[in-house]
Amino acid sequence: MVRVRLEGVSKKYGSFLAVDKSSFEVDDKEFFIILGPSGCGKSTTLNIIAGLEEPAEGKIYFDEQVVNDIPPEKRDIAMVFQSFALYPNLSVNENIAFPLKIRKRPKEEVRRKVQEAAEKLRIAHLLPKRPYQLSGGERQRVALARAIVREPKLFLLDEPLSNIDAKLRVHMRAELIALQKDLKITTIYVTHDQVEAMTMADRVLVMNQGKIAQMGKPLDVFRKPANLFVAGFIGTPPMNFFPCTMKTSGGKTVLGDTYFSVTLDPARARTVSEKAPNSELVLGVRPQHLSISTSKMDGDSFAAEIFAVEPLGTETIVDIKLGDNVYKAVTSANFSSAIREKVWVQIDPNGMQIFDKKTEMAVA
Amino acid sequence: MHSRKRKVGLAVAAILVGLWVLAPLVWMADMTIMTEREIHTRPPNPVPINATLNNYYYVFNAAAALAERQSEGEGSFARSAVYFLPQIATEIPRALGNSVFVALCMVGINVIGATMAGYSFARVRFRGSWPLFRFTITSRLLPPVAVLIPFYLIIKSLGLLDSLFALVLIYSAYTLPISIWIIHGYLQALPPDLEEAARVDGYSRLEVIFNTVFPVMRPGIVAIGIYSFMLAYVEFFFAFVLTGTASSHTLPVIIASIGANPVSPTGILMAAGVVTMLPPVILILVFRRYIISGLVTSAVK
Repeated sequence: MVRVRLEGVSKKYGSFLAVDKSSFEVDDKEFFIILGPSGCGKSTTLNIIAGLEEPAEGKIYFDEQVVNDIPPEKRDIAMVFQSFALYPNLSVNENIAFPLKIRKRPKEEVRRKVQEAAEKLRIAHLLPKRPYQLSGGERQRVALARAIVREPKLFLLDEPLSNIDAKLRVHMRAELIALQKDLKITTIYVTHDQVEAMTMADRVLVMNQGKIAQMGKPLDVFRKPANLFVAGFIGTPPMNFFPCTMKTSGGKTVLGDTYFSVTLDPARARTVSEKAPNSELVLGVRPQHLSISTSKMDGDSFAAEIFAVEPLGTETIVDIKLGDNVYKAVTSANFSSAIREKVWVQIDPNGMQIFDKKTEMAVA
Repeated sequence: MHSRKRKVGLAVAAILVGLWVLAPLVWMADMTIMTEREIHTRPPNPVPINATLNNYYYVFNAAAALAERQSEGEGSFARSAVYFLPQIATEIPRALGNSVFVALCMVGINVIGATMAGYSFARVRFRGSWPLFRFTITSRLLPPVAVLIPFYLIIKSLGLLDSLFALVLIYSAYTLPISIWIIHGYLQALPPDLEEAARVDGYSRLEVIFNTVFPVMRPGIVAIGIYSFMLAYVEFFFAFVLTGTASSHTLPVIIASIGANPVSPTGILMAAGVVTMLPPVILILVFRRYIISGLVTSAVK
């Protein structure tokens, strides 16, 4: 229904720079997620799009129109809050009808639309109740119904799943995806939960300290993180980081330090030496790309010590100690080993990400 | 067994506390329907034999009482309430009006002024908001004695001595800081989500304040209304110094003046006490629901 574009948007609170020259574009009908740790400026960005906060500089476009000076009530948007923000003095019915009543729509239309929205979210039986009589999940549905009842051109959701229990959250993820695809309304969704971003987003924007760290399709961001922050933020368990340097001897290029070494293929080695010559590097490897064996393996394997074993049922996370650092590896569920036992670790060459330690940017 | 003992114990304690609080009030009300002679009988007689509403009549019509005294003759030792009645008692009805008027002005000023100011301090970011808020609150910490003389001189130079307007000004200075503080604290505890939701749903900023914020914080607004009413209604110190004549005397000043006589008419004084109690009691009965209610607790979470 609308394309949203931010151009060099900044926001300051005193001397604290909450959002730093943010520029991005959200496509029509897209499910766009802004992901980041708390205090990274994601909610501020959402509030600026809503018009609840004024940017210090920069422009916000809805399609081709600059909306900086349009107050929130005239932007034709709907918002769902983490706290649900239901009006405590109104019944569920009145809560959902609220945005329509303000706009002085005819009574018959209000009644019909409230009914439709309530049925869509399966809360028709709750209409006469008051917010304090509802459970967290029910309140969440009422807040959603209030947002969809008006058929706005843009949905803004601020951590809508954070206040409901874990089981319901998993369920609501699927419901939200289905609802968004059904209504085909451009949606901007803010969360600190990378699982929500991975599972729900068409595209995700990762923010850190007010800056855009990376933007792209969730799987692309997962597979090719642009910097150390994104690499460490997305994925559970988080990516392992091995500090290392690159050495060439006898035509063979090797990444390593005192405890390990892996061979780099020539093409990659060339890229690294072009982009970050003589730099200290960080080798990033997801736990899924570390394999562990009790006997020495073919190829580049290195010795480590078992630090802890965390069986999850479907898989087992093995913590291994290399020097003073602990790394995580995901193994099959039937892996078993004793603490302190010596094991052999191998890095999957396809799962290697190389970063420049100083700039923190991905190199190869 | 244990819990039953506990219940009985609690009930007994509640009754004792109730008696402790109510007994003086009941005794006061009891004395208003006695004649002066009966009040001073030894031993006291709790149930009046010749119950009379004369004392209330005299409260509202002291002139009649004084005239009665005149007709009985100064020399005769008339053992009636009116015998000791000072001239100033004739001001009671007017003083009651003055007190209620000033107190209602305070309610209006606090409800409008403090909610606006409290909302601004809590929700609107502007340069100097925090120092201004702190200054407002700390100004209330000055003891009344410290500011009495400066206030007197200011009021005098404004030509407002002996006027109700002077009292309204000074009580505003004394009630607004606390009221602003209460409203500010109330709003701080209230997440701004509700207001933001209402903004997005289609209200303008002013509509949000009047249609969303005020209904939710009604208990807080009632609280500052009652607080400011009570403060203005019972205030004696400033009223005593700044008022001079019947045109601006408030009830506390009049009652104190009557009570300050070496011998005062107990029955009439008690009746004046009951009459004085009525406005705040009515106010609290009307707003009881909001004083008790915790509407906001279910507002957001």
